[in-house]
Amino acid sequence: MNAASAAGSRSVSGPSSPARPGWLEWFADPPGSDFAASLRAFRLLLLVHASVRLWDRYLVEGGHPLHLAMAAVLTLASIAVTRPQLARAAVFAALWTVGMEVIITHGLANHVYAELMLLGLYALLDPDREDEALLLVCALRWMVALLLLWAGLQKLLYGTYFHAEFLCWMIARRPAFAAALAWVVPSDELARLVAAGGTQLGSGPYRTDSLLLILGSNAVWIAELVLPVMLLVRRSRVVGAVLAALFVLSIQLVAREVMFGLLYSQLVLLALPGRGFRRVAPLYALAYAYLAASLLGLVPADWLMKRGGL
Amino acid sequence: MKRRLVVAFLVAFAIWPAVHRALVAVYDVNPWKLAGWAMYARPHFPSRLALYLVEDGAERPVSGLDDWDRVMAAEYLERRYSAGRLASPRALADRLLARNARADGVVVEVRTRFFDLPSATIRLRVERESFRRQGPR
Repeated sequence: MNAASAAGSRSVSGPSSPARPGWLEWFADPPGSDFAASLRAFRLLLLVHASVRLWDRYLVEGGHPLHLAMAAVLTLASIAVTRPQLARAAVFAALWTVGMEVIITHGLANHVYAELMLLGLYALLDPDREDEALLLVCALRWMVALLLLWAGLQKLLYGTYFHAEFLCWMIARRPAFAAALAWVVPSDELARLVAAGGTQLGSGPYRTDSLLLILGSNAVWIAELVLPVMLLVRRSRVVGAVLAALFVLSIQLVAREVMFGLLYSQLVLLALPGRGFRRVAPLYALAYAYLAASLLGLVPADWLMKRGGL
Repeated sequence: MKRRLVVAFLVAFAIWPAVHRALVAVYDVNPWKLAGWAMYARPHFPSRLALYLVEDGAERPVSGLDDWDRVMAAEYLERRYSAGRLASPRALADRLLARNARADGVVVEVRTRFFDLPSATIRLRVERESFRRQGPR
């Protein structure tokens, strides 16, 4: 390779670029890949996500004026981020708003922390600058790989998936899980688990003889350990991203954790090379439009979101 | 500089769940909360409180909680649900001591259901924390 072609194949440039790509760039696309469009699409959807979540909090969870103010700021930020000259200010406004929410609220869901971290990365790195865009896309891909990996490791460490104990407890605790898993659990055992309720002292045992449920339970944590590796290896990245997105969405739909599911699956799909995420972004825009319509009472959302804690 | 910040963030992001796992084991922090990515890994239940005043060496249940006592108790339980034993009931105990001049101390009993993995059943853990009067009555 001569000097000119070597220079032409470099995918990074500028003062913050490393002289030689390090481990951070293991997640980089092939040189010449146009991933900036994907990063901009995700930036918009991230702000829309935060906005819809805060409107949901305001309208469904009590109508606190502070949530109204936060939802309004995030909605304005979602509009402003579409204008290149206002995009950075919009990200900072969203970061400040979600940051305030995290500071003043006890026990927020993990996806709110994920939102905050993602906004922090977007505040630090500008997807419109070539060198920073590369850092940003690599950071986001590392983040989702680590998230998947730890989700699997935690299940392994807590040991509640080897004999499907956790899924049995979820069948007892949430009708949606009982309905979704009814086809793999014998009916008498399903009835026993549902009757156990999941909260009464001495209730249980939350175990099953269903080989299918035990296999499925173990497949969950194994998938969460394997998928990040598939994302990391460039040759298996596209298949890994699609499988991971389907895996995340199907689990979160059963759990009715649609907000986490939407954010998590978008992060996973950011591993698609080049404009891959940009191509699927309209589907997510439709999903958020549906959620916004559900907040106005125009369409049902009970099948997507659980209300109340466990 | 920005690259270093990103690397620092990712290293922290990679290490934090291990710290979180230790906090769950030692302090009963909620595995579902605080970005440890252990949602759907273990059931976690809210706690309930029983409060006792210690007078002349004997314990008697606290009666006549006022609205502010109840607010403080609810806030403590909310923090306890997320942060486990990292949340302290000290402020609640101090308030009960301030309102009960004859008491020498307060015992805060926290009753928490937990998922017992060996038996795969829901069981109860009872923890008691004693607070002695520190200043003058």
